[in-house]
Amino acid sequence: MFKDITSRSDMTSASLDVIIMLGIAFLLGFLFCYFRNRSGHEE
Amino acid sequence: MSQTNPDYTFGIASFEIILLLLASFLLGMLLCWLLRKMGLCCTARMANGRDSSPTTLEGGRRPREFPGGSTGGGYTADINTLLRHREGAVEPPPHQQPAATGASAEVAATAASVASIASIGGGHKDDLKKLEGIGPKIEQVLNAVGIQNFAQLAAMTPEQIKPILDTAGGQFKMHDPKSWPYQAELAAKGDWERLREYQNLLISGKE
Repeated sequence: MFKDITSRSDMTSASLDVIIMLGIAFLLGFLFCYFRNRSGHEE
Repeated sequence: MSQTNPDYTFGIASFEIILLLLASFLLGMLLCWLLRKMGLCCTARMANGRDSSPTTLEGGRRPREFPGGSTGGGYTADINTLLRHREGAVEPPPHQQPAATGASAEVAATAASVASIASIGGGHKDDLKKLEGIGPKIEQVLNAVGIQNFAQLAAMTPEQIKPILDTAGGQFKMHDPKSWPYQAELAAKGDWERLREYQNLLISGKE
């Protein structure tokens, strides 16, 4: 998928793939913060 | 876009995608942080969801005040139950020396309170560093005045602990022992999960 995106002339023609990737990254960021807070800061 | 742009190389495209992914990741974290600040999600909830805000406890004692509040951040510790069923805790003596004034009165009162809790815990020594806000130096200070375990610390009030820190030196004056007795109480009871959640609340309150 990555090669498919980068081989295109610009990002607009690969919008669906990019949106999926960004969505996953967004979700990962949210979950990272969520579980970090849940587990707490062990000191 | 079927037209190929010669300036738009594989490297530039990769860089753009990585930047976008990073931005999305950070955006997700930002949303989580905002929701947590608003108290909508991502906060560690207590298993016991009751919101107890008693005005007085048994014997006419007033409950302790805790930094961060009992409702902020979804924290609803059942403080009344903890204090009511406290074992081995001795009620600290009231300040009964109106004639004494200033620092000498404080020191005398502190000495009296420390003497009254000396027998608690049977000389058992705990790792006081497990409490948020207490480091190796402060632990040494507390040990030096005879506070060796969680039960002893739990039997004291922040107003009794503060003079100990003040007399130990200028570097300890900035420390606020407001939460220590309650933390010690949880630790003495072995309620580590609740202690951890309370400490998380304290830490998040400082941010």
